[in-house]
Amino acid sequence: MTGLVPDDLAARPATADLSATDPPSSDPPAAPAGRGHRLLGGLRTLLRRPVLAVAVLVLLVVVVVGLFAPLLAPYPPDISDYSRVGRSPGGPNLLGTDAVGRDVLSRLMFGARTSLFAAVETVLVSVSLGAVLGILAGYLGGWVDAVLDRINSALMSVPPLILAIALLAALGKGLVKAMLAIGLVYATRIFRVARASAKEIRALTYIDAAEVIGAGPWRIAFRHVLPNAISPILVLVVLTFAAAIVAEAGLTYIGLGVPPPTASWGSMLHDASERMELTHLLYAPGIALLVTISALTVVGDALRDAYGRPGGTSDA
Amino acid sequence: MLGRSAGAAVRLRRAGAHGTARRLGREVLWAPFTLALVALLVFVLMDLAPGDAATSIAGDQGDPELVESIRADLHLDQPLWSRYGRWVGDAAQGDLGTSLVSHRSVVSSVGSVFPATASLVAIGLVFALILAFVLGVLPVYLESRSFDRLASILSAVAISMPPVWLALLLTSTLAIRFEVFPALGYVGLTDDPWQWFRHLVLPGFTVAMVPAGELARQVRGSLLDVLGTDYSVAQQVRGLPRRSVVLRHGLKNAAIPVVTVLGARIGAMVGSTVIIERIFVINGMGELAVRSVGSRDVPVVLGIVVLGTLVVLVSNLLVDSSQAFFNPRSAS
Repeated sequence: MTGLVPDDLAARPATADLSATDPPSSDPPAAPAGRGHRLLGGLRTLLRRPVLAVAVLVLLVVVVVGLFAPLLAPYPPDISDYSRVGRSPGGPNLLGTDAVGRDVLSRLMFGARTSLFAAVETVLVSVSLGAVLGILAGYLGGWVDAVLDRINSALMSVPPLILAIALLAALGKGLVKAMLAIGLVYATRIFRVARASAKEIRALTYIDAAEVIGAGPWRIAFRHVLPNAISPILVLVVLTFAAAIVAEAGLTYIGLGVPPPTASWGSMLHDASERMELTHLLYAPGIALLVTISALTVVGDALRDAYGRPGGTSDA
Repeated sequence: MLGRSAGAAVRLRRAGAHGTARRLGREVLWAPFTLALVALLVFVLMDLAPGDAATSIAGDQGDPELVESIRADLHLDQPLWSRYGRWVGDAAQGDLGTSLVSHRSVVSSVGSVFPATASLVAIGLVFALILAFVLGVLPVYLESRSFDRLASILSAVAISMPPVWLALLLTSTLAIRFEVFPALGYVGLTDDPWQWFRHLVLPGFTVAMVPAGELARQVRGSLLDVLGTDYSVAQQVRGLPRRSVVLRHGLKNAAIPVVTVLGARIGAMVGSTVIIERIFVINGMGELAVRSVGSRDVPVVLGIVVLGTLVVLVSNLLVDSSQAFFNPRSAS
């Protein structure tokens, strides 16, 4: 190494942060192994990288809690009980109660459900639109590509939340519509990455081979190009998932997302902002958000390192 | 090698300036088309949506005749293409129409709230750069392993910090409990510069947090890359002071990817004001956008979209031209 730069600093990959204790070689090479090998390799990577393992565990917990919130929650999330207003954490209400006597833990669990729904909807919209059009544009080239790319870069130069707000002006309020708008915003980011990968893959010999055999453009685009463009899209999907959860909280906070009294981490933050003296109301949804987003960031970083995509521009 | 390089560098620099100028010129020429395209997309979207400004002015149960007459007044009864053509023609002359709600011109109503948003984003940028320097450059400069690890964790937390929560945390502690900064409101720069700054500290910090984390990671990574290159090692071996190696030569060469990341974040920062202005009760562009969406004030929404896009296009141009400054070879 350089001698003046300490080796532990210089040897670290640029994107590795939390996993910085690992030497860069600890990622198993993306060998074209069978399914079983890849799973085992994934598990081994997890065991070797405790931070990543914790992140995956956190996400599993959020998913399970979100899916089974009606079974797991100790109280109904939306029913006010004025006999137990504004209780601090502890006792029968583990995380306390809010200003109208609703159980904070139960609302947190149902809020995970809302976040999960919001993120899944956003990812479905953005991938089905962005990846499909991006791969078509990148593979077909020509005027289709030129037109789609021009429209896409125009949309990408609109500040994302302002674009979402403009879409909401057309669509109306509510969680489903809000996340549809956010999904459309992130479709532009996925389009760009999918298009670039498709362009790259299109130049490879096996695509020529498929064309020679006589496979049609649709078949080539989705049987041959798509599977090989999956990795960079997957990194972006994880980042989109995180961005959607943040966006849901923000849009709900300003009244364009989930209507009250439905529980969401954003609506819980809004309730907390009206009763600042009840600090536990502020910490419960905030920590839930921070921990979930951090876990997604760690997983996104790990995927990016594994696929060797340089740079850290999620511009989410 | 060394003797020739001076002349080569000059030639490269000239070629660079030329190529960059041509590319920038192309971008400048494209900008009006991009804006017109964005406006067209918003037009089409608003047209597809059920109901329009006339129904929202007259109310859901409004008299159908009244709705029709409002519609005629606002030219909403005309086909999409003629309305769009009229808008583009007016926009080319600097007229973005009239607000359907306040009946003020869009240029003046958006223009009156723009300084607040611009101030917020500018302060956010400054804070983001300062934080990125502390978290990304200082650990490398000081060669402190423990500080580097702490800074890396802090950068990751910054990237994952939900802005709404950060805003409320800052308000509940620094504004309400300790009363260091005001919790809400905005004071114009020309009215009182000190109050202007005080009011923008908490919202500016909120705008800055996520970009600061990303910038810190990016600048740390590219700085380490630069310090590993042959010429940097040569400087270090020759005994150039570390301050000169890292802060002068290193930072300038590491700046290119960092500026790119910064440019890519401008749009997101402008967008984030939509939520942050609501929390801190700043009457800016984002706040106006949210209000106009509620009243379906299409001309105002359109004006804000176009102005926001213009800000992004201009900052993209600045980023592109700064690349030529940091790296004259980048023009090819």
